[in-house]
Amino acid sequence: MDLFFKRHHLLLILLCYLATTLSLSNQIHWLIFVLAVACIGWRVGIYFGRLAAPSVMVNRVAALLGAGVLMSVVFSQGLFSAMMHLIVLGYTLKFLELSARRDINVFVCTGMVLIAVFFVFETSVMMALWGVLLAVLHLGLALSLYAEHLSAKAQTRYLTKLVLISFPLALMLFVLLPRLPPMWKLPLQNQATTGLSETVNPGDIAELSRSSALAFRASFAQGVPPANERYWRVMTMDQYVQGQWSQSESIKSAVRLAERGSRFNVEVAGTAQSYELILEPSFQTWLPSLAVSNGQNNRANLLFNYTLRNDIPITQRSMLRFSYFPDTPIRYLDRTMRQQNLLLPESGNEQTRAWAAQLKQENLSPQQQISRVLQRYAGENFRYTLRPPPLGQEQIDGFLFGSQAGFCVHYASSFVYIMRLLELPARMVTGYQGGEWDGEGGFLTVRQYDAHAWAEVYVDGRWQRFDPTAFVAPDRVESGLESALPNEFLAGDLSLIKFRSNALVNQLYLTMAKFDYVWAVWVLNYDNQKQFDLIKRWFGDIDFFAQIWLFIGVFIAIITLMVLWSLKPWQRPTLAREDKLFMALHGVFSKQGLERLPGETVTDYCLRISLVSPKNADQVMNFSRLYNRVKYADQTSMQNEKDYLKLSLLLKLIRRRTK
Amino acid sequence: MRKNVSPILSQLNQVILGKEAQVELALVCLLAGGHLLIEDLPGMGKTTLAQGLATTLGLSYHRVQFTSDMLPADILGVSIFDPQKQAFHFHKGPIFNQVLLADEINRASPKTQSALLEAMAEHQISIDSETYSLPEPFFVIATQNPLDQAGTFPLPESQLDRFMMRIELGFPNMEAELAMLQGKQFNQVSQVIDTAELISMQAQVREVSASASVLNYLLRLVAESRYNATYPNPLSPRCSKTLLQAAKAKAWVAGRDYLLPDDVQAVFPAVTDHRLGVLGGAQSSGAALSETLLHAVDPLA
Amino acid sequence: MLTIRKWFKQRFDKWLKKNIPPNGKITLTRNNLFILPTWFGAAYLVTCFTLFLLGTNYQNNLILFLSFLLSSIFVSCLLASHKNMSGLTLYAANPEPQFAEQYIAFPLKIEHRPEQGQFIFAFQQDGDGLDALIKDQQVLIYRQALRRGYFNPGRLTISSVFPLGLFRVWTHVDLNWQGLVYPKPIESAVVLDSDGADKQADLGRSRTQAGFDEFAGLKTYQIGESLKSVAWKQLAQGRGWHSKAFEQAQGSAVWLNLNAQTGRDLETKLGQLTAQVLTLDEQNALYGLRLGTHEIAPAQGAQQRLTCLAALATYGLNKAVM
Repeated sequence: MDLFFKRHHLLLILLCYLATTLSLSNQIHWLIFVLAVACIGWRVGIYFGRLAAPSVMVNRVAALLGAGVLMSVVFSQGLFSAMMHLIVLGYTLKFLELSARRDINVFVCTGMVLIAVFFVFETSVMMALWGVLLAVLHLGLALSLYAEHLSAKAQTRYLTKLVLISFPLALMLFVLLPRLPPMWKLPLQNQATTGLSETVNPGDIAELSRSSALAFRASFAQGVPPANERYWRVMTMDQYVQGQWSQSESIKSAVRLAERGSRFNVEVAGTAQSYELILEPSFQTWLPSLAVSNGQNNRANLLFNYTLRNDIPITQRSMLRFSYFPDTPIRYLDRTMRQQNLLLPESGNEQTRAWAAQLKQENLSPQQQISRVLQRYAGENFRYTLRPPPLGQEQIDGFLFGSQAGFCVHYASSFVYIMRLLELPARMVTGYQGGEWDGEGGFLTVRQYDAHAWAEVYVDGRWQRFDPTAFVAPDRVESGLESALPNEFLAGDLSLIKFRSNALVNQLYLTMAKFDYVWAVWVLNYDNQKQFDLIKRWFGDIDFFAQIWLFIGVFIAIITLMVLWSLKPWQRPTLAREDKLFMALHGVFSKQGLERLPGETVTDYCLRISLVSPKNADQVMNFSRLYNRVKYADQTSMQNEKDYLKLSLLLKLIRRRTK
Repeated sequence: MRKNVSPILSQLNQVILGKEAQVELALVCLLAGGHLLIEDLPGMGKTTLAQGLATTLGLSYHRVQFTSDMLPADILGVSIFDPQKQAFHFHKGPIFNQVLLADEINRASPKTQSALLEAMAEHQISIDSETYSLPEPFFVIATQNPLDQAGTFPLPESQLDRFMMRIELGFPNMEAELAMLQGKQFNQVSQVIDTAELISMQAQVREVSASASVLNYLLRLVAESRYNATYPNPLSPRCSKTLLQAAKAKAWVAGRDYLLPDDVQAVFPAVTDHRLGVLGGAQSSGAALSETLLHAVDPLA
Repeated sequence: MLTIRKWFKQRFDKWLKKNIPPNGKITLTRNNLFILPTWFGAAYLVTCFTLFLLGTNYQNNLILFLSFLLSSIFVSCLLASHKNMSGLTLYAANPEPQFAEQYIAFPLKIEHRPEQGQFIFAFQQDGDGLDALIKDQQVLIYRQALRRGYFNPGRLTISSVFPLGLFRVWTHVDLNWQGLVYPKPIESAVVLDSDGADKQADLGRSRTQAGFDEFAGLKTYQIGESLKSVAWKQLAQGRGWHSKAFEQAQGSAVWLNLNAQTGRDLETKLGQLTAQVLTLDEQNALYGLRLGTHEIAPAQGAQQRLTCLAALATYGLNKAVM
């Protein structure tokens, strides 16, 4: 073991290691931790002299074996996970070969990469701070190697100063450096999707409704739409098989086509309203949107059912911009689609079928039929609840004629079923409804409990939205789940939202939400567009080249500030005022070739001047006498002031005479 | 020049002609409470200077010629058994004078030299477990032959440190020597001040104020000698203290009650030359060392 | 290839001589400091770039910020590492003379601000094995001297990788050191000059008892003198306390001579003389040294030893090296 390696180094390495790996513990296989315990144990053993340092051979075997085992275990989780595990493995095995400073340097660099990986998974404010803290901790490890003359406290202070002084430059790079587009495709992390799923069972959305997790946030350029218009479409379900709604083959093939680059074109009409979404990572490609919207960026594709899909899964908080055309109808329906949207199982739910047949015989217009069905929901003893009693095999019958208690999926599902029995093309739409508008912050927060399901029926040549839930629980649509079901709302959730009746908690909650929103918009999704807006706001309309000059200018300014701070020229010893006068006198005579010699005192210098230029002799000798008194004599400050004044007058006189 | 000092100097300058700077340094050394080492060939007026100083200032004076067979007792004194009283009786040696001229100190054995130097440093002597204080003021002027003379015991460096100054009288200039030959030299020296006055002068010297920048200059001079390879023997803290005392006395003699860098520079060669020593024993470059040091350190920085 | 390197080295040495001239006191400023990233610095930059690529490809602003922060810290370290060395004042003190093939300790005093530190000292010419010894503000740097004479250890490299090891700041300074190197002692019997040869037998011993040889007379007794020397006879006669004084014998100095040595060449002879000087000094002898025309008068003690050794060290060498 090298002499450099001390106890506090080992402790710091352990601290760095544990803090970093535990932060990633959700993503790391537990085998890594088993390995870590072994490696750390060995290292501690070496430290206390109980164990010998492992040979190079042992290290290599451990690395290969570890890599092999890990790969076999985690390869199924995808390339991203595999690479991450390899880095963590290297990070862990470094404990076995900490024989030189170089090894710790490698450890520090690896740690930095792992912190970057951590940022792939965690993007909240707290986690960002934590990540920066982890990075600083690794730098502290490097500092402890090279700054042993400083105490631990002094090292901490030094490191803090170093980071703080670097901060403005980093911030400036972050704000002003143009963002590059992704250069190549990197493997994405695999994770279970959250939010709505591609099949809908009754009860799925009820499950979601128990979660207060954020789904997305939206801000509107032209004002927020009213609550009952906030229907965020995510997916349409046009296939009903065995009591479960799902996407038919035609939607799936449309998705495949879109992935290959084919685009569905829609003619939009009316005025456009633009809005931005900050999406939380859902690890799926479906995007929520108001009908009809199209994406302003290329990554979101419109499908024939007017839902939007992203090119790649949303794996991190991302911002997307859309244009919303409220006056554009959803029109598209071809033959196969019509068939698909009328398709029902051959049999089952006989009570419902009978009821629908009866309605059909009344020869009403489609609109009238629909309002009759909706009146049935409104009129009878239907109850809106998150905890419906179990339904039998015949789900629709069980709901419509049995329990009459259910959640939005129950209503939408039964409604679409009846519509199809009435030979009206109909489909279920899943998405989110409502959301909480923060007027101060100017953004709408949509959470998982805002998940909703409703129906679309093709009447009068266009798809029209019908929400049977609104007829049972109008509160749900107008003011959200909380007011519709105050008792059942977030029954199992302990988050702050539940306690919002308390004014203080509510204030705290709102502030945090706003801060989080700003963080998401201005930090996580700060892009070229935002950069452009910002520069425009600060510096007015400037073109690309001006922006480059601006960048260079600010860069130089910050570097100059850093250099100034580092050199601290203002801390140079300043001349005493009498010395300034003497330097001035020296300036006068050095022009005449009378430089002060090395080691010469003021008295001697003045004596020499008086010998060389006798016409100034009296003044110069007087100067030296006064100078000596001001600088060296132990006299009162008043006397000193007087002498100083005389001295400066004398200098003026000498200057005038030598001119 | 301070008023009560100028008569002293003018009288001394009439006794020793053409040696104003050295005479003043000797007086400065005495006022600063230090001892003086004069290094010169015989016949340069060392004795005259010492005697002149003693008489002018009204001090008791004794001259001891050092020889190789001299013993410590010859300077300090000796206890003699008195058969009548059946007790030892202490006979004071020549050291119990206010001005002691130790002529050719380097002829005596190291033992004798160190006995004198110890007494000089401590201003008291201990014999037979009894302590005798030396008179105040106590001023030793030692003379030393140039080192290359045969049969000498050169004073070791640690002993040289006990002398505040070392000066060389050197040959007088022609003018002065002519005046001497013409008999313009005073032979009769009269007392100008008395002991009490001298002691009060010494007290005033100690009161001279030294500003921070002068002290800083002094410290930088000393530091330069310690950390620059040019100087084989760095200056000791005792030396810096001595330097300050000497410079204060110089300032006082010049009529100021505050110290200037000029005062430090004026006494610097005399105070430090014998301490700085020389590399490899080459005597000739000795004078240059203190000058080099003065040139290397800026009094204004 | 080798000549090109040599040529570059010569140019560099010339440049150094002009820009960092030899001096016993050197203050480090940006004019005499060099700075370059270390291997760790390069690896760190690569890491920053990797993070930049990761951040760009994942469109992850946090990773980008981390990359920017680490790069900024890199820039700060550039300034900080320069700051750690600049303003440092080096004072070279004279090294103690040593014998050839021994390590000379070159003392150096560094004056720095309290937060400065972690300096590494090494002479430019390598192959010494011994490192620097840092104690308080005093540094001793060791270098082996192979030949007698005045020895200049060459330029000293002072470097520092503070604070994070990302940059190495260094300078090559010539502190004008002249270490005096005595010849390496070569064991040999003491060979005295012909006119002192008859005294060879009682060499040394006669000196150690110096002062008790010949009765010289009576002196007044002084308390503290040995009772053995009291003239009891005189005391008994009532003539008071006296002691017998003895005088040491004079004129028994011995001479060492270069020409009397048996060695094959000059260096061997000087080596033999060195050993003899040491032997004589150990015996506290009174000795002189003749080196060709140069003569050192007989004396004894440490001063004489040093004078003789210095003369042996520089004999026949151009004095100009001093």
